[in-house]
Amino acid sequence: MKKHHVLMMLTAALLIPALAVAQTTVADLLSKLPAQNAADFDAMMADLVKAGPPAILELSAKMLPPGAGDTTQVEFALNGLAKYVMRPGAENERKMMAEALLQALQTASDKEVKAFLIRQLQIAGREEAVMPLGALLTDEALYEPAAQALLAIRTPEVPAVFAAALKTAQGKNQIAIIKALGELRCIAAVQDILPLAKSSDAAIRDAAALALADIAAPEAAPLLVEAMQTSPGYDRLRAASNYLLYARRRAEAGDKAVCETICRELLKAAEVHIASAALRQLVTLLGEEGFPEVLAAMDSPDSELRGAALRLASAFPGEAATRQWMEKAAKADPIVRVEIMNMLALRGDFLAYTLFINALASADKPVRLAAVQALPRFNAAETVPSLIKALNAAAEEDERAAAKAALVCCHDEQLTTLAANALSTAAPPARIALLEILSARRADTFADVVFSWASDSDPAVRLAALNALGNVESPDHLPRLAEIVRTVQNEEDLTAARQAVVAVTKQNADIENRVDPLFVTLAQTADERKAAFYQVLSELGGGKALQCVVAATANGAANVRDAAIHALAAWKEPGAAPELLNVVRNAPEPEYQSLAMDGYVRLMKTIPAAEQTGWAKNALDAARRPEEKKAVIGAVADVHALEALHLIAAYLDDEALKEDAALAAAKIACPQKEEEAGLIGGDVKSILQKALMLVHDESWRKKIEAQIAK
Amino acid sequence: MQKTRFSRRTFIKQAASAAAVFTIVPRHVLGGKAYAAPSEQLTRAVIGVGGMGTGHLGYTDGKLLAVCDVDQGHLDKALTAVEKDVKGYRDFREVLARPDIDIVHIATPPHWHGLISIAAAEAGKDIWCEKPMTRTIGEGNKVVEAVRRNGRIFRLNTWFRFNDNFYGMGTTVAPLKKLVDSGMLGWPLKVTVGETTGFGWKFYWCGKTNLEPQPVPPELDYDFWLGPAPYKPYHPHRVHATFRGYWDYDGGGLGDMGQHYLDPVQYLLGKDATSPVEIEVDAPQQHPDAASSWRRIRMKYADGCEIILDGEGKDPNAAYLEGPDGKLFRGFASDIPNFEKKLAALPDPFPQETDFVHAVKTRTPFALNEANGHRSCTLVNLGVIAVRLGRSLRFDPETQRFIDDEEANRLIDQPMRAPWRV
Repeated sequence: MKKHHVLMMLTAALLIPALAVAQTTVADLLSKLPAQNAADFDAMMADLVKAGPPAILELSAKMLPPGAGDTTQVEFALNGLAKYVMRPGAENERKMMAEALLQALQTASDKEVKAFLIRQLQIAGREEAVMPLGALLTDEALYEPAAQALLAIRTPEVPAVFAAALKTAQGKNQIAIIKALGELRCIAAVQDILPLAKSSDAAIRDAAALALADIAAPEAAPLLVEAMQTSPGYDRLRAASNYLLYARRRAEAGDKAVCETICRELLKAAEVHIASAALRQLVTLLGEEGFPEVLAAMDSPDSELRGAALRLASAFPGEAATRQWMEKAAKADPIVRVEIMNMLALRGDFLAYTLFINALASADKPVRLAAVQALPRFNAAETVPSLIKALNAAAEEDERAAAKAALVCCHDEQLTTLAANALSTAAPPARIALLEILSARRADTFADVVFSWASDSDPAVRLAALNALGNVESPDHLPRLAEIVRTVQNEEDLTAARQAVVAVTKQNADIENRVDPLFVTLAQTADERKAAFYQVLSELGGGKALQCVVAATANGAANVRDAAIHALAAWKEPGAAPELLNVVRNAPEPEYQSLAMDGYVRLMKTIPAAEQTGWAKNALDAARRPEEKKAVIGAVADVHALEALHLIAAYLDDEALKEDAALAAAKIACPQKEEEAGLIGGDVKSILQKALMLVHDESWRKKIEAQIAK
Repeated sequence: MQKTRFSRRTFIKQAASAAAVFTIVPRHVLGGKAYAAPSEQLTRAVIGVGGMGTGHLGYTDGKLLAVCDVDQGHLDKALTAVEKDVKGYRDFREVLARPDIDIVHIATPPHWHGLISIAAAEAGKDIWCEKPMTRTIGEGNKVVEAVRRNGRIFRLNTWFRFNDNFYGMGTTVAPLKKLVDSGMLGWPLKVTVGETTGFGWKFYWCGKTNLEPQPVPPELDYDFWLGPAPYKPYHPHRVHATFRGYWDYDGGGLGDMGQHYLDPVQYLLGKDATSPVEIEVDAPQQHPDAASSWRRIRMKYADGCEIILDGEGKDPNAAYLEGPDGKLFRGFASDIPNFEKKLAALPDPFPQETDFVHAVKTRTPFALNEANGHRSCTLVNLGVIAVRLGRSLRFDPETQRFIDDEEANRLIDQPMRAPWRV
């Protein structure tokens, strides 16, 4: 037998079993993908690796263009393997995969399939893929994925591949190649790119200009300058951006003189952002010697350039620079002084502290404001006293507000003491702010001090003190707070006092007994003033409080009864439900029936959905008027349960309630979200069919019809 | 006399991480030589007026002069909702070319955010950008450079670090920050972000596979819509309301909600200038094109702080914040006795610049700006990369590269389709 026949037979003997293994592995794998966890993924990919190139080729051969068939599993497999072989320490596997992909790329006929394979090379390819992908840079359909893959691979050979392709490229792929050469900063391509910067095709011209700027070839400079000088509008902006990029790249290449020249030229640009960019570039270039440029920029009449300069301040830390900033601020107009002060505040150099303390006395309000806002950042002994002084001296509300906002940021344990001590000598507006600070800090050691202002003749001060009491008082002092509620005349004061009583009482976790001190005061309270106490009890809850309010609903005095029913209707605990239904059942006044039912329905919505239908039934039984029944029907519409639907269905024949019941039935049975099924089965369909005849809203009718059809 | 209760390192750190709020009186009130009164009315444009972009039409940071969209249908609809003098464009570059526009709002899909932000900065515009800030970490770095280089003011369209009730916590972030800074919980901290702590991950943002190519609707410039993204045949599920399900444009639910949830976490932990060093993931294998769900992502910082992204919600009692000395639960409840009173006694966090108009006019960095926004977006993108690769990663916060991991690093700077580049 001839040698080559023997060789063929031997090869076949090796390959055929390998192919069989590959086919089995592939079929098995495709049935299991995607892997649900990392361990399964690694195991499956390891098997695929073992099956080798035949498996990868088999998979690749199964790829179809979009629309020709579902190759999702194949995509998972090939992409999964590309990711797997890129793990550290798996270079041999990666190489195997890449070479198999390249082979598959040659045999695949469809461009979309090829593009998919190229995208896997973008993940897993290295030097072996460079030349084959380079050859595709002139392919009209594949140049783009090939270019992206090469840019991702980015081995040292890649720029030369793009440079070679540029020599023969035409049309759109030219742009992709020029762009890549710029990103790769391929100096070798400069001579080929230069003429393209004068192309009649704007897209080619733009790509070339940017690439030349990025490569920073000196021969491109005249072209970039000309573009800046002659281009209009947006083109000029892009030309300036290119020119600055060129300057940066020249500096990176060691040509600092060129960079400096360009930056100084562009500092004079009419467009402030170009000048800002030039300033930043110049300062970066000059290093420590750039600080005078930053300071000089603060003389600009343009706030944007000054803002850009201030953002460079952090590049020059240290006290020497801080001193120069302080000197600059001292001589500057108020606006610039404020800008520098703001920067110094963020800088945090304690050397500047005296600048801010002195600025509190400035004749210019913005300067004073900047000082106030900055001082908390300097945790000095004088900070809080100085801010309190500024608070007191402030003639306008915005300055007071700024001082108060600054004080609450102060890291000073003496803040509340100093604030409390300052109360007696402060002007009323400042006094209010100080009370608010004590409140915010829950300064309970100064409860007596705050309380003493709760009867001040100035209404605003009094109100501020009352508002603060809820945060500074303790339950031990409830009687004196309750006394305020009993006696205060002003409505605003009453509201504040009431809220204080609630807040302080709630500090006691014993819900039942914490209200006892209030009963003492309530007993001494005139009927017309009892309402406030009932409101308090309603907020606090508990059995004793409920009993007290319920008893009052049977009081002979109309105003007491009214206050009690209102309080009961606002109750927050489900335990009030039976009492509310009693009012619904027994109160002669329709407004009380309605009020009580609203309260009941509100409570109903706070309990678990599974219990709400039972509550609704009780309410419907208790209600005497259609108005109350409708409130219940409307509420139970949010309960998406069969039981609720059956309850509502009973009212589909009630003349006064049928339309509300029909809409509620629709809301109960129809799904809320697309992925939900809603209620199906049993008598749901028949109930919905009945409801459909009563619902007029078109969108709900469609939903009902859709649900019936399920 | 300087007190030493708080180290200078502490207050300098605080100073560096927060932007102050400073009021300003218009120049023409103060007078002063050589200061022409600036126009008090800022102007703006919105680029991308389909989904989120329609909300931007009503923002009040300036007079709306222009809207832009690659879908003529979206553009026409937007133009009916705005003043008659607003002009419509199909190409964002024409918007950027207008010297009379001060601010651009970027509400395109995320694969455009970085590109347009950079272009806007290079055109001298201030920027209000939708989240996630960028689709890749590499783009994010380029945005930071461009914004700083051109002296621009940048903000993201998420706000929870300084405003609004913070989802399941039932409070704003300020008391949370105060609690963390107080040290009451101890250090390091673990933060769990998931359904059980009040944060849903919107796993319904999943892509579909086996999409049959469809004709491109005449009103949509699909090539422009794709922009820097790889070309893939058109299908309606890839664009507009459902683009979030595709890695080429976004990152699923993580991309959608990640920055809303994680930016405040970064702020709470004081990590605005750094990133995690370890990322672990538990997820099913991901498709190369269509995003799907994940079970858990764990990110760990060098100092031991952790962020757990909980996609399963198995532990109903999980604390939102957990430290060696205490826990904080959903609804701002804690196991620390009397913690609310202890907290009240402590100083408030320094105020932040939260008025964008004020930031633009005074050139003060906004509270959530390009720098800290890039870092919180990096949290999102680290998670996305870990999910896509299905394995653990190690990251260097200084170089912002993965350590010894070429595969992951190829996802940091993803090449763009020509002519687009950053």
